[in-house]
Amino acid sequence: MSKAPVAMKRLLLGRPMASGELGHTLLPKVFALPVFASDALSSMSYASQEVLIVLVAAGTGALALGVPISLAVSFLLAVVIISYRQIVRAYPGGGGAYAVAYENLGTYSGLVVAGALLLDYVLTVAVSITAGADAIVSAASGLHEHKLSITIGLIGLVTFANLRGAKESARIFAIPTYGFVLSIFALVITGLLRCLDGCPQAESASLHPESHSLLTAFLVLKAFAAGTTALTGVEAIAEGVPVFRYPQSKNAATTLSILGVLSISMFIGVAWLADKTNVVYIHELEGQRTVIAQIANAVFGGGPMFYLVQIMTVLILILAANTAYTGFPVLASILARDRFLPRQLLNRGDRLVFSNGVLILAVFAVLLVYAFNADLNRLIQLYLVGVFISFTLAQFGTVVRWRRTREPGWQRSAAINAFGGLVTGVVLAVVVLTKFKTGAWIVLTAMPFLIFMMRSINRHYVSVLEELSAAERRPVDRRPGHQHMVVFVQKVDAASARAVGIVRSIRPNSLSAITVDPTLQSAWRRLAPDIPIEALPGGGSTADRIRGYLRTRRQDLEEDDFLTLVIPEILHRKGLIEIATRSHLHRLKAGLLREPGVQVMDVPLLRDDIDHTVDEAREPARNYVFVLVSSVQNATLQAIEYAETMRPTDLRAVSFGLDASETEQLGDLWLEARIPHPLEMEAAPFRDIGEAVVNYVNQFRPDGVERMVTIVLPEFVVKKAHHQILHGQTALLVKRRVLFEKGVVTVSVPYHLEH
Amino acid sequence: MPFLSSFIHNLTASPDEIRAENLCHWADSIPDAVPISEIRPRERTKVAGVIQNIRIDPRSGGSIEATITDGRGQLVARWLGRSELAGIRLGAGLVMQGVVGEQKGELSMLNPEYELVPSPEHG
Repeated sequence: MSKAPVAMKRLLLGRPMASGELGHTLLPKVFALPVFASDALSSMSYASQEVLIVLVAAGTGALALGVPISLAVSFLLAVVIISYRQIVRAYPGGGGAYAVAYENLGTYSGLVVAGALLLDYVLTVAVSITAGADAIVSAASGLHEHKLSITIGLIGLVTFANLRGAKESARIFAIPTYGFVLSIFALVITGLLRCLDGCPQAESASLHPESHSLLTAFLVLKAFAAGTTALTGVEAIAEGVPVFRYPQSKNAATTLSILGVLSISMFIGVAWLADKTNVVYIHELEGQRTVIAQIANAVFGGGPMFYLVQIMTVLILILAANTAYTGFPVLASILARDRFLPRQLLNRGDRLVFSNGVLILAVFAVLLVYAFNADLNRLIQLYLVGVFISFTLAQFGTVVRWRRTREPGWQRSAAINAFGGLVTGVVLAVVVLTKFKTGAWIVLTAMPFLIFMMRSINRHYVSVLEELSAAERRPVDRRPGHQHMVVFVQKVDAASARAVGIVRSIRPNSLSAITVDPTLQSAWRRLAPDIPIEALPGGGSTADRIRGYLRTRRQDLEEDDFLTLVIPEILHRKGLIEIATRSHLHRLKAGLLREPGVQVMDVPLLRDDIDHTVDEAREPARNYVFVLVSSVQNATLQAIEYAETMRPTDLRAVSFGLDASETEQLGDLWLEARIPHPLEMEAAPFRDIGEAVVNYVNQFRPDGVERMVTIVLPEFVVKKAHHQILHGQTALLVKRRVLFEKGVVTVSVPYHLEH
Repeated sequence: MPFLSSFIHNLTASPDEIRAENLCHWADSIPDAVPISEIRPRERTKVAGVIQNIRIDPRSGGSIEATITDGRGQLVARWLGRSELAGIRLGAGLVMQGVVGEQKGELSMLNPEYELVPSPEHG
């Protein structure tokens, strides 16, 4: 592999990290607070604004309700925090709402929470970054038309930083978080002091918008619901308990309380100041500054402190978005482990981050921001439903757990959690009711869809697994295996000659050749007079004719015979372009995989590796065969029986890149299944299986003439083509990686599933 | 400039080179362990390495082999007549005492005493 692309990737993303580097150091409370509470604290920057937006619809008089509503929201926040203090006691290993609901309330509750959380993470990114962009254009009003681009640009920046993975993030979080808290406190205190002489007025104080609704109880509820946006992010601490210093639960609970005190004081302080400075915020009005910006401007008079508040606001909002970049991929990985999401989301990439999860999150956040044109208020309408669903189910789930485990003091904890769950349940109803038309309906339709998708993925994986582990195999144990080989001749060249040498050394029960070009027959008979060649009758594409031939042959064979199509090909140069230009061959091979009872052997030969002094058709003296395995099931067993027919010099099973517990499992299963061949488990510390395979192969020093390596790849083929994407991309990866390696032949042995 | 050359080295070093360097640092921290490249065969030695490969052979009585690497070389530890070994997992750190034999360029130890230690690759 050339050095330049490696260096580029290294420069952009940093060096690859070995799995063992994942260990994190435990955080003291002073650093844990910023890491986990930045989302919760950041919502202070837009919560009061949301309340005002609702109230202003009933005229400026209604704005006076801002403070009482904030008090009510603060009460709710206090209830939730007290309840979550019990949850961190119950789950010292980290109480993710998904795990809590799944374990205690059942699969469907777990999926509901999972769907709510996944949507929530996307919304956290969208809302936080949009709010950040709002703060930026409030400080630099010239940028107003570019708000959408600024938002998308910021998302890109945070995505990039997360693809790199940051180990030092704990310290980076501290400055903006405490900076924001301090600047808001400074704002409130300064405001209080200035109000002794009469409160400064906000720039919008002179606005008197027409009221277009009455001040009804419904409106008050709606404003309350809008204010509950202040609660988003509280659950993050419960998920992060394992990262706290010991005693973990106690420290997490204390941090929650600190968060509660800070949030409530900031929230009420800002609400009070908003009232006293007579801020008016109208959603539809273009070019308005945010409520916080207006207050800061009024209190600090547009000096450096104003800019400090804005900068800290932007920074903490970016951090809040960043917590979603950790949460979403981890949740996606857990869901993939539980088989509710595709396995591509299961593992960490080069930098020990879940790259696929990060990218999916970024894409959806950008789509959402674009669809709503970076309108914070509209995005927030979607936000609250998911939050309160997970609050409610997490708290009720914990009640169930208390009742189950009956630890000392469980009754009190259970009562607290039950009360909290009830309260958030009521708020959930209020939110859905008041925000239905303005956006909640979108979430309520998206969630069943997500849940349905996760359920189908799960059903699929489970039925595949059942079939693979079924005691009855189709066909049954093939020993001793009969091997019938057919060489597909595209050209009579060095690759074909090599294939001749190989198939002769295997000495199968029957050996023949086919071609679609009748003119090749005489050249073939000179090369291999012992292998009868047949020109396929015309009509249809090459692939169709080959399939037709194979089907006819298949009918004459026993069910447990192997029928291998050998495809020799000459490759002109290394690289992806070469692979791309041979797409017709790939389509042929992919199509053949779906053909029952057919295996495909690839005999590639790089033109530069052709040695004209050597007779390519000579039989290799040594054939090292290994079967690539990752588990022991029917597809594996079939592949091993196939490998036994190759007349190997040495036959073994090899697996790459398993983690510690998988190693033990595989070893045990192997011995239980009494497979009479050695099993090797090779580490792939950088998780690059392709590289690990190549290194492993090279120990045999294959040269393609005397010594060769055959890699047998068990693959399972699902009935519906669109399900195939959920499975083993590993075989494809390995085939591509070894395509240009000297002396390596691959065989795909598909196991066909009913599902 | 040493800074520039090490910067370029970090950019272009293969993952294996980086891994080898990490392993060397780790192995050096194990007291009294002899680097694999400096082992003298047929002497009793203490050696430390990270398990790179585990081989289970169920045939003829069974045997388990663990190949360890310390960034400077590889060594195979063989235990005969066993079908399982507590704690032997990929990426684990092994410290072993025993006599090292050499066959066809491969260093090996037969039925050594072993101790599991934390390693940089034990995820």
